[in-house]
Amino acid sequence: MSISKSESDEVLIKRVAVKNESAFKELFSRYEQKIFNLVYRYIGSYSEAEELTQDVFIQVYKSANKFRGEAKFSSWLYRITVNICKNYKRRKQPVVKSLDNSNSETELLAHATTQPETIFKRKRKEEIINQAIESLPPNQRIAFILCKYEGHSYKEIAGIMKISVSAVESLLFRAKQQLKEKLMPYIEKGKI
Amino acid sequence: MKCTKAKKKISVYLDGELKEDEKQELLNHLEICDACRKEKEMLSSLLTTIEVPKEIEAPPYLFLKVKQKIEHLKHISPLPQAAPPLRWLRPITVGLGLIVMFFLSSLTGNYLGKIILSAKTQKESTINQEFNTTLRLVVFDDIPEESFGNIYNNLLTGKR
Repeated sequence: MSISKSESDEVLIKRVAVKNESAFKELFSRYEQKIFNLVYRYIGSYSEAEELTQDVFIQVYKSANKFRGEAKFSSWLYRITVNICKNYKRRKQPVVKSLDNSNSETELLAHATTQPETIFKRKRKEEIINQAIESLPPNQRIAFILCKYEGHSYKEIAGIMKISVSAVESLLFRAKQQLKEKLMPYIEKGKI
Repeated sequence: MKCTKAKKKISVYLDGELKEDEKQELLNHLEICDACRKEKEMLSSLLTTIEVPKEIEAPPYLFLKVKQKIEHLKHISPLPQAAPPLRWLRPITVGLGLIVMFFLSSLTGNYLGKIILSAKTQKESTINQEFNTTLRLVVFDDIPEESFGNIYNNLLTGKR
């Protein structure tokens, strides 16, 4: 059965439910980047993000018949992603890193490869920001990533996380307050 | 607007999610409140700083890897098949199940009730029989001539 690019996600997922591979491939190509980015920003590791992105799509394939069409397919997909990420983080031992850690992987790599100073600074900035985001409590982190990096509206985030819009507001407010506390000293010193 | 509320609304405002009337209220507050204006500038600067490149390139051949894993899973345990499309049948099935359960329990109750009632009736009739035998006036009949009771009775009354 041929798949048209204009077909909606909801139509495609119904076809995936009857194990239509072309429909699955089309959905995969539509969301691969977005899901990988979300997972990467939540987990902070490229290789782990790759593994978890695979898990997300395998889960979609396996439970396509459970999609009821009550919410948008994208909300359902993001909810699966968020659950997989949260479960993974819960299982994994937390690695406590200091924002001031001078022996970081990035820094060592920068020295070893004698990259220009600007690249090193950019990497260092990204690392500090990522660590600050990673230190947020899971729900705040998810809401923040979905809002800031994935461009979702409060209403969409509420749908994905199954919470109210005012709860999303509150999560984002607290996330920003925590990030401000952690990152403002760096901003004021011109380190990032 | 109070500063505590204004600080929360600044966050929503910077995300472009504040309703028009609330936005106006906040902007009015920011005009007169230095602390909240400073908070807004700080938060705005923070959010600009933490902007990172929008897209991170996903690794290559990801679909192939997913496909391989799905194939592998199929060999280990068959993946769930598509759900029957007759989802609307579920409430009817549940309803029918409840009706059948109701009738079955009525029949069982009726049958058990009969058994218990018959046992009870039998027991009651035995008790009545014993009661009648015990309390019947037969016990006041004359004592047989040759019985020990009669001899004893004669001794007491002085009869021979």
